[in-house]
Amino acid sequence: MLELVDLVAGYRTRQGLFGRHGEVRAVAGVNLTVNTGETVCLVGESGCGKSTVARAVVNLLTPISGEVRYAGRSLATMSRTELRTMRRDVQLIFQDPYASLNPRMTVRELITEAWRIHPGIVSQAEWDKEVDSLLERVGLNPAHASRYPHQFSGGQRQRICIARALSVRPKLIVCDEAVSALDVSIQAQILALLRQLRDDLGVAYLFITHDLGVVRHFADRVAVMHLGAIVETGTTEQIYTTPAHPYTQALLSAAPSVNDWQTQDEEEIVLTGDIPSPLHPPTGCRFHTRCWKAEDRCRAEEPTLVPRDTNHPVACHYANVDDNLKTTPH
Amino acid sequence: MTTLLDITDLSVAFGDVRAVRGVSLTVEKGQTLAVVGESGSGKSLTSLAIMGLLPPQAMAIEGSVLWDGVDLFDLDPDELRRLRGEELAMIFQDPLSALNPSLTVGYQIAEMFRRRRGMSRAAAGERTVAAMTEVGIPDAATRARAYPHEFSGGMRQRVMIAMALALEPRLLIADEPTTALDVTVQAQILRLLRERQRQGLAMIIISHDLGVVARTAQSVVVMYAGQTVESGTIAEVYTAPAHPYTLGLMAASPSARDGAREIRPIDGNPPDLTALPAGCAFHPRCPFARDRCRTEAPPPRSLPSGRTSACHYAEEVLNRA
Amino acid sequence: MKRVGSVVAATVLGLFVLVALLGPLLVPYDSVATRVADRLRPPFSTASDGTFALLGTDQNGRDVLAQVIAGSRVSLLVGITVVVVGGLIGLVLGLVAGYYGGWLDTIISRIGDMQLAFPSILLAILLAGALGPSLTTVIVALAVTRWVVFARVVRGSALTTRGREFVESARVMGASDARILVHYILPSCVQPLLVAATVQVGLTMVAEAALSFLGLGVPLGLHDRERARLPGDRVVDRGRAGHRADAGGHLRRRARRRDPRQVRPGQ
Repeated sequence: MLELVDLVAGYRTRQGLFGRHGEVRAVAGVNLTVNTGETVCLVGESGCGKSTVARAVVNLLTPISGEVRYAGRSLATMSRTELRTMRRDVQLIFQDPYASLNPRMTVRELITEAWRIHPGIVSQAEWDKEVDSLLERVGLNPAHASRYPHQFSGGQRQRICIARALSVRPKLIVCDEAVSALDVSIQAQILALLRQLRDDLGVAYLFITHDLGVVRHFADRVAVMHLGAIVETGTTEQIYTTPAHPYTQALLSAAPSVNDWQTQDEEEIVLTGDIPSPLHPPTGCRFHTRCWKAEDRCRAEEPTLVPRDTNHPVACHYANVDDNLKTTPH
Repeated sequence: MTTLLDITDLSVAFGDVRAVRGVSLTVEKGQTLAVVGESGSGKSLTSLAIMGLLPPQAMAIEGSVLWDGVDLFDLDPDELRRLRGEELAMIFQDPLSALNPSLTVGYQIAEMFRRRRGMSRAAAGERTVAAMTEVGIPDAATRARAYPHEFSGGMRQRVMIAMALALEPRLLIADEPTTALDVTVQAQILRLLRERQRQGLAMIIISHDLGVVARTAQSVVVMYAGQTVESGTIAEVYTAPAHPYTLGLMAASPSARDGAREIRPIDGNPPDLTALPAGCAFHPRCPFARDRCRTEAPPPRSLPSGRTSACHYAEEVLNRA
Repeated sequence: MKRVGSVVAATVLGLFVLVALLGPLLVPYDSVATRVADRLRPPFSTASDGTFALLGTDQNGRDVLAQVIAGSRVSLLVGITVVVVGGLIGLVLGLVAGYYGGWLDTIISRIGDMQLAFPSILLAILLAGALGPSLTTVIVALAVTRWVVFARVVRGSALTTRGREFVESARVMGASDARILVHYILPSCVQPLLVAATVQVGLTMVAEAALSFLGLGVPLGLHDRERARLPGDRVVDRGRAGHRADAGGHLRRRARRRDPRQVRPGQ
């Protein structure tokens, strides 16, 4: 349904007064697919380009090279009408629930806006009923439909965003760190809601997050991203129980868990050094500066995503599924 | 075990909002206490009250905060200022806003040495470089001349830690020290804090993340709507929570490495501090709630082995877990 | 405290507007007709025809209060019209420049900069000279120079708002640019625009007074359609007729072109 083919995207920078144009390739060659009804999770830390991917998928920014294909057609070649259809099928939920709703529109207006822009989804006579039903579905009180966003809490606002996204009957929802700004208990509520919507409506998700802990029981497939490139993809089972790329292993080890009080220091993987800046990516393998396995080859040659026989592609010269994992997966 | 900090019945209010209501906790020498709670639980305000950094709108401050036997609320501002930095230190969630953006990092750390210890510029400079190296900042001598925005998030937090620990305080209060950081960087900072602990530093770590405090603390206090709902050692509380909120929080916590457990949410919305429900503040969201909970607010009571829980049916929760 | 302040302010402003609107009905003294017998009477005196001059009379015997009220009507009219017209132009151009950016923004902003660099009084003189002084000329002259202020304010707001997440959310929904401009960008520009407008009303009135002093303003006695000569006319006339500064000769010259009804005895 959705395909990213060798996507390269980023933004231009200007250095100095006389504008030497630089280019930051936040996304440097990414391949990813999301099939109908599937939940794919894109995991990575800050600077890895995952938000740029989100924006490219919904056509909020144009790629430098490569393609975003929806239903087989490249976004760049779509006509206006085709793009409008695409907008009905693909929606985006932002991270900050306090900034993503127009403060001057009531909840009702926010939800019916989709039907104003795309007439034909719901007839005008049915609007009020539909608004009520959507609000109930996301766990909000329909009586609050005439309130303004600032009268709701963060978690409730995120629910409004979800209701708004649902109003166009999308086939794919991109969640750009949609739960990261919420408290733990509210985060859990929103995740449960998203799961339920998937079960009820069959909607696909591209769930973008930095927190591996949040998607273990939510995602079908996981792609791990580091500094603009995907370093490992696989099913949830594969990624969580047999992570092959050192970065994935480090991410898993660093993810906080309530059982951690029993863990010993030696079982941890703690990386050395900082996350490199996307403005000056390291030569060769982009992870080598922090990797404990790094050898000369890593500094010189950038590894490509190699499928291997297990259909569990990894981009590492020394990926070895049976290597001495320092964290014991449960 | 000498008790460094002993807080009894601390209450802080802002107008209608009773943000902290009767909080009691103790920190022993060389031990780390975790204060866990979500937004609105009053955990940050508790730490600000200890340091005497409450905003001017705070009123109705009651209770006692005993540091080494001396009530901090009885001290005058000068004495409190002396204590801050020397004995008590604090680091905050967002290092970018906590550091002065127009001064170099080295200057800000050296300031501690020059003002408090009366060191010369050269001596302070040396100590600064040493402090920065100790917290794991590479190339410290050059980096000391850089400005805060030139550092990454993790490095800035290390700078904050260096500043806070410069005068070797006995207690460090860390308010959500890693929340703004990436997870791999978080692991580095937590490891750094653990090293300091081993060297004898007592710490209060405040967080909403049960996982983050699991590795760092020995005892824990859980807060909800301004009150302590549970306290005990980490082992006790994490093995078998004695309060429905703690139970709910654990079930809702993300788990990357714990494959068997699915995330389960706590029903309902966070408490509205201006309109708290009658009886137990948690009862609208509590799966164990009964009639008594709706009318009578449970006080924290002791359970065997020294842990406490503010629940009428704590034993039931214990045995269920 | 705040409420008391705003009530007082609103009352004062309301009084001004009321006086301006109802003026001539309140003070039924002809502001234009001259009664030389009543020249330069002090305030609170009674004129020869029995009328009461609250603020006295000027050197031509005209009641000052009546003149003040007549003047305030004109000022208010000009002030508000200029701000509305200039504001609308500025709003549209500012929205377009701020939202679309790029070369459109560059063009609009540079035109605005050029406009601001050019002294508005000179521009007004040019226009008045070309079109002849009248109410319309004044409004056009002032509005043409004022739009830039509004455009800049609106552009700033538009620039900040267009990058905000809720606007991106509308784009993802498929909203057209027009819809985004009207429902998302425009509402955030209204407040700063209103603030700028209230300030500009006052400044416009001052500008209009400056133009009047130079003889380019709204002619007095508008309703009579008679042109009164004002001190500043000498400056313009000197340029036009090419006379040298000679009070007698100048006046003789002027007497020729004057409407006989306006001849003042003794001059």
